[in-house]
Parts: sequence; structure tokens; C-alpha cells
Amino acid sequence: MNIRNFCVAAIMLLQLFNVNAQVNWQAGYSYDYFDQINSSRNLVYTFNRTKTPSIYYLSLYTTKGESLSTLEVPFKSSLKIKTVAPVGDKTVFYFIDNNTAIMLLVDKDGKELARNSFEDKQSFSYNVFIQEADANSFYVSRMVKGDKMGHTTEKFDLSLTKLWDYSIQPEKGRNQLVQAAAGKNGVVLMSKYLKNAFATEGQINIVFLDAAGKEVSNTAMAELPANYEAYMMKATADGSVVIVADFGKTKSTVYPDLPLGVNIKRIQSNGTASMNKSIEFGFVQAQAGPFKEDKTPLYMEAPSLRVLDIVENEGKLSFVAESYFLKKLVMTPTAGTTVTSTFDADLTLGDIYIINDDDAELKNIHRIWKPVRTYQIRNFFSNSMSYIADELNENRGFSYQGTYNKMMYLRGYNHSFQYANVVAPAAHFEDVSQRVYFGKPAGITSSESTFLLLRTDRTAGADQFYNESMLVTPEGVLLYYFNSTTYKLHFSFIKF
Amino acid sequence: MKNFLILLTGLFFATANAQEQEKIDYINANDVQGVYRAGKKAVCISFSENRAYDHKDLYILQVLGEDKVNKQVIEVQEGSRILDVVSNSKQGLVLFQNQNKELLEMVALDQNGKIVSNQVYQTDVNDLEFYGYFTKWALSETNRLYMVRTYSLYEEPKPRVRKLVNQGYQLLSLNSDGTVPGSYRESGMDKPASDIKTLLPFEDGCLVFLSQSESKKKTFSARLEMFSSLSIPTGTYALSGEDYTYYPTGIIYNKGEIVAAGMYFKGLWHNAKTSEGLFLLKTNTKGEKLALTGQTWSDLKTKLGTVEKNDFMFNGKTDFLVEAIQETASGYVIVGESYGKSSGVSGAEFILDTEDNSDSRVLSVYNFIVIETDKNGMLSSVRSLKKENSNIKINGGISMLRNVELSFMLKKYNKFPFQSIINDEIHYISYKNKEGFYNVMDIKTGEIKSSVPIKLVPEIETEVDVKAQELIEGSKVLSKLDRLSQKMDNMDKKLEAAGNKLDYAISKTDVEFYPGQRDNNGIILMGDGSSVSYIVHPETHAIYYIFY
Repeated sequence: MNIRNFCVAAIMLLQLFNVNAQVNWQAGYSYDYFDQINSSRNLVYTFNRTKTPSIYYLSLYTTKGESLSTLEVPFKSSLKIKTVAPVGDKTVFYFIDNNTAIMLLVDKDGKELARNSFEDKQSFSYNVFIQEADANSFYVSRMVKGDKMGHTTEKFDLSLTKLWDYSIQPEKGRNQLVQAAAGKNGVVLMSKYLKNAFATEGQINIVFLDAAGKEVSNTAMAELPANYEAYMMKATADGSVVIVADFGKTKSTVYPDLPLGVNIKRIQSNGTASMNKSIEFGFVQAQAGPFKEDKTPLYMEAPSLRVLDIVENEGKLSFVAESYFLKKLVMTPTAGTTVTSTFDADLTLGDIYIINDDDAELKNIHRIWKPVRTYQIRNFFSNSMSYIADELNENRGFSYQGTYNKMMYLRGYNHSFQYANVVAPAAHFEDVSQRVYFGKPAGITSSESTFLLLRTDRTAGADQFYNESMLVTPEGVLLYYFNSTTYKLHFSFIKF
Repeated sequence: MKNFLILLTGLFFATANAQEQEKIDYINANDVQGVYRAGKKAVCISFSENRAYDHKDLYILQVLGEDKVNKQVIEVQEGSRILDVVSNSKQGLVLFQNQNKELLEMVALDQNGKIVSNQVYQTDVNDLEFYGYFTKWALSETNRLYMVRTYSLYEEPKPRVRKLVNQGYQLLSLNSDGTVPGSYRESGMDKPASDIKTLLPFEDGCLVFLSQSESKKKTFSARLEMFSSLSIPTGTYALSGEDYTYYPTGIIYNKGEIVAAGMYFKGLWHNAKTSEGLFLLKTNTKGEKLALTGQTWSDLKTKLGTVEKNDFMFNGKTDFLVEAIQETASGYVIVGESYGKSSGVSGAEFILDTEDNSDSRVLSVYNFIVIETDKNGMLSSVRSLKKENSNIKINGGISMLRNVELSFMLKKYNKFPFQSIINDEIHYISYKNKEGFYNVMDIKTGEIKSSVPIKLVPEIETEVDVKAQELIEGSKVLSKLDRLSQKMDNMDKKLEAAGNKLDYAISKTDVEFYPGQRDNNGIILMGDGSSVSYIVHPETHAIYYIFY
């Protein structure tokens, strides 16, 4: 051991005894720009502009924050990461600019294994779904435009060679890809057929493809509730697929145009529905609370629920939802234009609710209490909950951050600080003593409550909530903190 | 390499053993309830949140000097407020009372500050309508908790003008499991309302020093009341009469005897313009007098001889607060501090007319007076031990209290310089230009054996803006501007220091006290000679503390 290594080891030893701070940040990684950070199952990554105008950097780290590599991605106008997915112990990235896609595959050590680019004129504006087929292949589902708008699903191997594709091109109108989910038996697509560009209501179909790309079934969904809007689909171990959707619309003056309930369907591969539950939020509150001391529902208008995860355990499904109130504020049209309007809203997140698929009568909806937190959402381009949920997910803004090893991870806010915590799904509330606080004081405290700012608020200080956050992986929690003065990214790995 | 290892290891342990500033971070100062002694540990308690699920309020308890990552959660009835942490030499109890005042929650901590139980005492349902917040509490060395509250009962149904039908106080003896082995209620309309000044627990009972005063009728009475550990009255001793009024500011229990000392006044309390001197009273726990002696100020002055401020300190207008009474081989030693009302207006302040008209008052605290007596309280010797004067500014309504009553309040909140006597040494805090020093003085000679500055420095992060620095280094003009900026900063610091000195020169305030408000700084006595000084620093969201 040389002196230098010894010193480093000794300093690390001393740091172990530093009990003053809850979080010991690792030495920082320098950045010229800090644009995006996220994680996949196998690694953590940042994606940033550079001082060199023609290059973007994709920096890869282990889930514990150790640097692996930095890969160059050639500059395209408005290049962004559209989606990322794990494939075995590897990870595939899908970059997109207005016209061109880049697919990049890296191994667990951050080494580039394959890369290709191809024309893609639709994915900048529409969803792209990458699904792990097995350890050696994956599906890419996206919108394509031939004569009419349709969609395609392709299967690739680890050399990014296309194994097969399945495409739907309508003769008229448009066939839009809404959701995609993959399981051991193949991939499932949810599409929506619209008669013309102005139609909002259309026919929804569920398409099951087997692992060879052969269509197993293609079934039109019938008797959907009013204002049905699917936002989550997951393939399950038995080869079926579960679809979660909002339905209905409130007419409340305080909380207008919010869904009335959540619809959960389970579709078998032959297209038949084995489960179809429409759960009204008022019913959920009456069953699970929150309650006043006299056990009557606490709120006149029950909070809405957003399902954030479907956890499968020994064949049983649990739907993990977070409750919210979305108070829409005055719309503020952009001065001097008639094209773009922006929206303001205050979004208050409430408790976690768990609905189990074997609870047919919905008598055992489980609620986990947690402190409310309110986001101040300003200058958004849409005030629909789907749009806001996407924004929240991008900011990791929901309290629920995922379930790993049968524990639920939370990102919370209290005492002016953010914190990370875990809670068992059977608990009624989190253990406050376990919270790990981190970062700088966050939020704006008004006379009534504390507001947190989302990055897309485009208001002063809004970056903070993104720049000081947590990434949860099966390994544990990686806290990160980007110091915008020193331009260094710091990590701290914690395990509960 | 081996030497390097030894050096590094030595360096580590030297660092670990030094009394260095520590901190608890990630706090919101508004949520901090206070820093308290709990047996051998000091604890910080902060409000965390209201948990609507089961209508509980959550508080976080952190033991100072321990692993602060391991926080403990206290769960109490929604809307409760923390009364205090009551402590004996071994352990502490965190006391909460709920909004309706019928529930008293006692969270027991073990000697390591770990929560071991949470018990609730519920007031008898017939008594709910007139019980208020507890006002005094004490924990005996045998873990018996004594709680006192006063009450006033009005006529029912309520007439247009409320009519008082009963008043008095209640003393409860509680076990830490919430059971009440005994209680006592004093009632009666024939006496003015009781003001409980002192509650002193001892091994098999407790003592209450209370006064009853009606300023309109100019009536005043004071007495000591003694109780068994089951709150059964065992005796009483009247401290006031036609001839003299005795006002003990120091009371101890010593081997079955009560020893009290303080100033005494000639005639009725409300008529006495000055105090006559110092008394020492000994009784047993039945209230039977064993000894009562009084030393006039002129006796003490004569005995003391010619020393600085002698005339001033013993003129009867300057007061004397008994800080400690200790048994010696030949009798007792009484350590007190002389203090007097100050105008609060220094010469400079008078000239500059900066005095505001708020309810505030300044007490100036002067020398330590050490008086030694024989077993019966007869004077043996008196010494005046010189120290820096301290000016304590008291804000709010209580500043209008009579000096002796006010000093009582300040003693409770540890605002006077005196801290403790350990092995014939007086530990106290002094101030120089608003900077505190922890001093140790020889009780015999007045020699200051050590004086350590109380330096709690908030850690304010200064981050280097790399890009700005690069820009400055690359530009001669910016480099010059940067240097100019640094000079300006230095000038600001000098001006600030000068401003502080000027501020002190004008206000002469060493300690400012806002009754009823949480102190953002203070010193906690640990009872074993050690103490912990702390500051709550809202800007850096941290509590800094240091052990002495």
C-alpha cells in the first residue's frame, strides 16, 4: 500500500466516524453542463451537452455511484433520450432528434456493445416502448408513418440486428400506439384507432404477439367506461396483461375535470377479460379513509388515485397508487399569441393506497398514511393529470419511488428538507426515525403550506428539486446532489 | 510507514477526544422545541409532524453527542404541547399535556436517553372542567414525579358576570407508569390565589414554597408546605408575619432537613422598601423550625471589611439571589450573586436616545458573595468574589415583577452567570462584549482557574464558483475588481465588528431573555459538573453544541 492509497483509506475511515451529517457525499464528478440524470435497473446515467458543440456525453455509473464510462453521442438538433431499458445485465438507450433515432447498447461495465441509427420521424413526439424479451433480445414499439399513421414493433438481438417486425398501417385514419408491455410469452400492444386527425374517441384494441412476432389475438375492447384513459399496462407471469386507466370526470368547482375512478382490466392472451373493476374514488375513501375521528370520510370530495406500480408476488398482483388533489388555477394565455396557453395548478399528494387483485369485494384496500406535499405547477402546457404525472415522473416527484425486495421506497419532504425512506407494504405509516434527510432546504413556505417546484416550472430555484434527488434500484438508494456552483455531481449510496 | 501509522492514529484519537463543536443538522428551527437535560444526557426535541392516520403528533428526540442518525420518535396525543423534560441525576421524563389538559403524557428515558415507556395520566372525569396546564414539576431521585397546577372554579350555570366559587392548587404524586398513588388539593375562597414558587422533591416527599398576594389589599403571605411521597401534607411553615417576611431563593433538602436561605424584609411585604439582610432557615419535614438566623446587610458589610462596591452591594436596595447552599464540615456555605435593577439606559444610550419604550428591564449582576455559617446559620465568614458585571435584559410583562420574584424566574431559566459549585470551585459564565466565557473560580480565593471562550460558530458553506473563478483569473480587470471586492468584504467585517462593539457600548446587554419563547441558545447543566452550550441556528438549519 503506498502512502497515497493509505491516506485515502485513512480519510475514508475518518469519514465513517463522522456522525454529524446524515449523508456523506462522495467526491464529486465534474460537469460542464448538467442536463439529465436517471437510472435503469443496471446502471445510473447522465446525459448532457458538452463544451464541444457537436457532442453529447452519456456518462455511466454503477447503481452505487461509481463511474464506469463516458460515451460520446453525436449532436443532433434537440437530441434527447426517449427511453431506456435493461436487457439482462445490459442496457439499451433510445435517443431521438426530429428525424433520426440512435440505439445504443452498453454492458454492465459501461462498455459500448453496439450502436445504430436510423430514420425515425415520429418518436420525438410519440411514445417509444422498449421491453426486455429475455437476456439476449428486446422489443421496440413505436409509431411510424407510411401513407397513414400506424405503429410497428421490432425485436432486436444484442448486436442490434432486427429479428422480426410487426406493423399496422391503417388504410385510412390513424392507428395510434398507446401502451406496450412484454412478458415471457411475447409482447402486448394497446392501440387506438382514430377515424381522422380531429377525432378524440376511437376504438381500442389489444394485440398479443408471441415471441416470434406472430399475432396471437387482436381484440377490440368493448363497453369501456366514459372518459376511459389508459395509462399503465403490464404483462404478468401467467401471460395475461393488466391495464390501468382513469375513467369519468368530476364536475366539482374546486377540482374540475379529474377522473372519478380507476379501472383495472386483466386481459388473457386470447383477448378475454378475466378481471374488470371500476373503482370509484369516493368508494375508496369510504373503505380505506382518510377518516375523521368519528370515522366518517375526511374530505367532501375524495382524493383521486394514480396507480404508479403493479407489484407481482407469487402470482398475486398489488396495485400501488398515490392519492392527489389537483387544484387548477387561472389559465394564463401567453401574451401576444393565441397559439400557446399555459396552465397553473397546485398538486397535493396524499397517501399510498394498495389494492390487491384477490380482493374481489374491495373490502381490504390498504392505505399507508404519509405527510401531504404540494407542488406548485406553473406555466405548464397542459393541466391534464396524464401530462402532470409524466412531469412528476420525470422529476421523480411522486412520493412512491418503487418496490424492491418487498419494501416500498419513498421520497418525502419535512422540516424544509427532502428525505428518503422505506415502508413495508403492510404498514399503516412510515417509520419517521428511519428517514434519511438530504440536500439543501427546499420549497417555498407560504402562509398556508409549503410548495415544491418542479424543474419544468421554469421559475427561479426550480432546478433544485431535480438536482438533489434519489434514484432507487434493486441495490438500494443512490442519493445525488449536483452542486451548481462547483459544477460537480455527488453521490451517496444508502441501504435501509 | 509505521511512524506514519502511529502519527495518524494518534491524530485521529486526539481529534476524537477533544471537546469540539458538534452539530445536529437538517433541522427547521421553527420545529425545535428545545434542548434539555435528561439524566446524564442532553437531548434535543423537535416537532416532526401531525400524523392524521391515528391523530398523533410526532416529535423527534436526539441525544446530543450520540449517533444522531438514530433518531427516536415520540408519539403523543394530537394537539399536545411539550411542558418540559424533567430530570433527576439518572434519567429524564419528557412531559406533554394535551389541548384539553386532561391528559399528561410521560415519556420515560433511560440513562442513555433511550425511550423506554410512554404512559398517560388521565385527569378524573369529574375534575376536567377546571383543571388547567401544569405549572410546576419535579422528579425525585426515587423516580417519583410531582406535578402542580392551580385551578379556579366558577359558578354554574354561568351568570353574566363570572363568580369565582373555589380556587387553589393541586399536587399529584405520579409513578412513571402513569399511576397516581396520591394527590392533594388545596382549596378555599378565604385566601388569595396561590403562586407556587418552588417545588422541591426529596427522597420521601416534596416541598412547596408558595405565596399568596393581593396587591390591592396589600396582603401577602408565604409559607413552606411539606408533603409525603403520596402528597399527604406533613407540615407547614409560615414565612410571613407582621414583623418579618422571609423570601427564600435557595432551598435544599439535606439529610432529612430543609435548609432555606434568601433575603428577609422587615414588616409587611408590600410595605418593605428595602431588604433587611440574609436569613437561613432550617426545618424538618414536618415544618418544625430547627434554626432561623438573620444577618443584616450592615453585619455582613462589617464582616466583609472594605472591598470594592461593598457599600453598594449591601445597602438593602441591591438584591441577593441565593444560587447554591451546600453543607460543609462546620455548617453551610451559601453562594449568591448580588444584582440590582438597572435603568437599561447607558450614558451613551441616554445621549443618543435609542431606548425604545417596550416592556423591558435590565438587571445588572455583580459579584459572587460567599457566606459561611455554622450548623445553626450563624455567620462565620463572608467573601465578595469579583467578576465581570453581566446585564440581563428581560422583555415582556414579567419584567414588571418585583426584583426578587424576577430573579426567581431567571434562576429557573439559568440566565444568571452562576452555573454550579463542584469541589470548591464556582463554575459560571461571563461576557465580554457579548462573547461568552466559561469560567472556573476558586471559591476560597476568587482566583479564576480557567476561562474558556464559548465559541459556537455556525458552519456556513462557502462554495467556489469554478466558472466565475476561471473568468476572473483570465481577466485583469475582473481580478482587480475581485481584489476590490475582497477589500470591501474585509471592510464590512471590520465595520460589523466595530458595530457590535458600539452596539454593546450603547446597550450593555449581555443576555436577552424573552419569557415564554424558546431560547435559540443556552447552557444546560448536567448535574455532574459538565454542561453543554448550544445554539439553534435557523440560517444553517442546524443546532451547534459543545460540551464542557
